[in-house]
This record gives sequence, structure tokens and C-alpha cells, in this order.
Amino acid sequence: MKDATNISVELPPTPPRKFNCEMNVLKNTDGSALYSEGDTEVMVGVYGPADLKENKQEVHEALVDVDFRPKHGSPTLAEKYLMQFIQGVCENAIMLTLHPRTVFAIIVQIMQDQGSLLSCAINATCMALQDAGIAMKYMPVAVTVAIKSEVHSDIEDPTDVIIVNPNLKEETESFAVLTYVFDNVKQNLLCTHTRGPMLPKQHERCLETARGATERVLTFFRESITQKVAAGLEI
Amino acid sequence: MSDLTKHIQPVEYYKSFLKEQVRPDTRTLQQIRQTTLNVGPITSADGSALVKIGETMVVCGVKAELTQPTVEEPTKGMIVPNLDLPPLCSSKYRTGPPSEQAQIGTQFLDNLIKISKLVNSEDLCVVPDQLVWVLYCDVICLNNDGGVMDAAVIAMVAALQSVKLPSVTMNEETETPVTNFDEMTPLKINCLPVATSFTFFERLDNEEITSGHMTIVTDADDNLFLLDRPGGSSITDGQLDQCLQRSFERTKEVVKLYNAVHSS
Repeated sequence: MKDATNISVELPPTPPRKFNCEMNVLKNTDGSALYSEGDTEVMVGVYGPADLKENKQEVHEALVDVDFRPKHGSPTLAEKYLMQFIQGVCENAIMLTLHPRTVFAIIVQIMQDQGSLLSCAINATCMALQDAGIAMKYMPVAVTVAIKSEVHSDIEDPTDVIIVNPNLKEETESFAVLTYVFDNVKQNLLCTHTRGPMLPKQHERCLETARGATERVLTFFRESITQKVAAGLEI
Repeated sequence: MSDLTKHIQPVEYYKSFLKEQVRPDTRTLQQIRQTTLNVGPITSADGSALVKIGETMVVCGVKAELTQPTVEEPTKGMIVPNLDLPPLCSSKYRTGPPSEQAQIGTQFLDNLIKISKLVNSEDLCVVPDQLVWVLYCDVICLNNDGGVMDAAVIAMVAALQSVKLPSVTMNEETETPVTNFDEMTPLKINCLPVATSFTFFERLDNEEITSGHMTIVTDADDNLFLLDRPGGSSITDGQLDQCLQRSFERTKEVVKLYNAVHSS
């Protein structure tokens, strides 16, 4: 993407990180997904709508309980911080008022973190919810972008390069890492988590790039679900 | 509007105000409550600040201690923030281990320090590989009336701004540090971040009054440090722009406050 002031270029992801999704991998859960974007891999299991202790029940809607587990040990503050984003997205996407006095228990287990963890975890959760057949208002799509300055040999000034779906190395080289979640209906912003000093203009550009990148993820979602349904028909 | 409606039909009560673009406390939708900043209320701490935003009150105390640096980063000091939401500040909280909201708030402050590079961690080094400063920033909420994180950020930054560290030399014979309290150097702060929280009045026909919140942290040099919205109903780009603009305006006001307090 080149704009009028000519300070930003967008490189195609080099090479684009491979998406992979296996649904219904766990037998005891109501829905599960093993989802990976590049080398980042997340396993999600969903139980719900399930029974809930009477004192915790909400009269008019279901509760969402997210457990975000790191690779080993118990969740630290960093995981708890990311957990609130997954929980926020689920609380909005799932039609909670359909199942009053119940709980949706969502267990998110990090298998491998190689960058873009939050977007991978949110996408994995959405696939698991789809696998469980839970009614949702829309399909949330998460995309992580990173922005770094790079001196090009042909241009003297440093330019901002926006990378879609960065890996861990690209994330550390970048000055800002931004995760956006859009709904697939109106393409509006559902949830955002951004880190790093940047100018509002750069933020705007990242948002635009991320919105453009949702199409690829959505296509992948559609393909995975088609495959799952097709496989089910054969038996 | 009577007090009775407020308790029996809270949604209707709010709706009637929002229709006129005001809030029940006579503020307009974009108006932020009066903010007061008091630096140095705790004399026994190395730096402290008390912030009030409307009825919300937050105090921050900074305690400086000498410690051994980590092996990985022998020349870097540490800043350890901690947000405490005691039962004193709201009936929402119970005694015991820190609530989830407090933990998330602590992580938010930690993220902010790292992202904005508030203090050069090398400045906190006394003797490489042997001695560095560690600054414990304890932020305690005294009254929670909304916007705690906004107040917490102002309190923490103002408290760190007021920190003065004594000069330290190593006694080579005994290998113990000697602090000289006659030579105090103020801590260098790289930027003055300000947090602004927003919420969105949507889905009013439903039971909910508000839907999710958003916190934006910016500084006066137009830098955008953090923009977090953990869920809630979807927002349009126009709304996001409006929030960004408002937070930059707000930052300018608060930076004036930081500078006024610091220079006096």
C-alpha cells in the first residue's frame, strides 16, 4: 500500500504463514479445534451450554468462562491479560440470552507460541465454537499486524513496513504489534489490543491492512468447515 | 427524574438522559470529570502522588530498594508496578488474593511502563552485575467510582516523576553499598503518558446500559502507546477516530497538570 506521502509500503507476507485447522480432535468436549497459523499452535476445547452452580447463575443470560493455559505451569498475569480479550470476544459473539442459567466453559491451551498468539487463540476459539455448533451472531476474525521501520537501499528515509501475521522474530524487530478482531458481517472492530509507540496515522494504516487481511482468514474458515461437513457426509 | 426511577428502571433512567446528550451527573457525553493531582502526600515513600478524578481516588507510593540485577540483564534496574483494589474502594471486591480486575490492571501498568519506555532501565543501574535499583510502584485505589485505570496511570507517572534517588557508592573493602542522602538525583522520565477510558452506550433496548470499554494511552507528542478494547459491541472507524481525538485532547490537559505540579 503506497500512499500520497510515500512513507509506507506493505510487503506481502514472506512467505505467507500456513493456516491449519483440525476440528473435533478431543472426544470428551462438545467442540474442539487444533488450530495453527505458521508455527503458532493453539488447542481449544469448549463445553457448553453446561450446568452451573446456582449461586453463580445469571438469570437472563449464559456465562462465559475462559481458561487460557500457557505451555506449562499455571497462568501468569500476561496470560490473564490476554484472556480478557478472548472472553470479551466470546461474550459478544455467542448468543448468550438463548441459554440462561448456564455456562460456556472454554479452555484455550497454548501448544506453541511463535508470534501472533492472541489472534491465533481467538481464531482457534471461534473454530471450536463452530465445531460445538453454538449459535453465534457473527464470526469473529482476528488478525495480527506488526509495523517496523526499515531502511531501503533505494530510498534514503526509513519507511514503515507493515507485516501481516508476524512471527516471533518479526514481532521483536517491530516497534508496534497490533491485534484486531472484526466481525464478518459489517467488518466493524470488535476488539483490539495494540502495543507500542506509534502515530495515529500509522495506526490507521495498520487497521486498514488488517481489515484487508481478514478475507484470507475467512476463506480458510469456510474451507475448513466445508471439509469437516464433507467428511461427515461420507460416513 | 426521581430517585425511584433510577433504582427501579435504571435503563430507562439513563436513556432519558442520553436522549438529551447529557449524563445524570450533568456532564456531556465527552466531558471528563474534574481531575486533581497532589504530589508527595506520603512523606515516607521515595515518591508518591494522589489523584482524584471526580469521586474516584487513587494513591501511588514508590519505594526504591537496592537489589542484585538478573544474570540476563546485568545493567538494567526494574520497575515493579502493583495495583490493589481493596474492599475499601468498592463493595465489588472481597478480601483475599487480588481480584482478576486487579491482576489485569497490574499487567496493564507493567505493559505501559515497557511500551512507553517510561524510565531508561540503565538509569537505575548502580554497579553493573552487582547493584541496581528496583522501584516498587504500589497503586492503591481508595474509592472506585469508575475510570480507575485512568487515575492509576496518572498517579504512577506523577509518583515516578517525583522520585529522587540518593547516590550510592560501593565500599570496596566490605563490598557493601553506601548511600549518600545529601546527593539526591531526580529520576529521569522519558514521556508523560495519559490514559483515557471510554465506554459505549449501545444496545439500549436490551438490559445492558453500556457495552464494553476501551482504554487509550497517549502522550503529548502524538504517540499512541496502547489501545485496548477487550470485547464489547463492535465499533465503527468513525467512533474510534472520535475516541482517539478526544484522548489526545485529554492528554494535553493532563500533561499541563503534570508539569504544573512538577515545577511547583
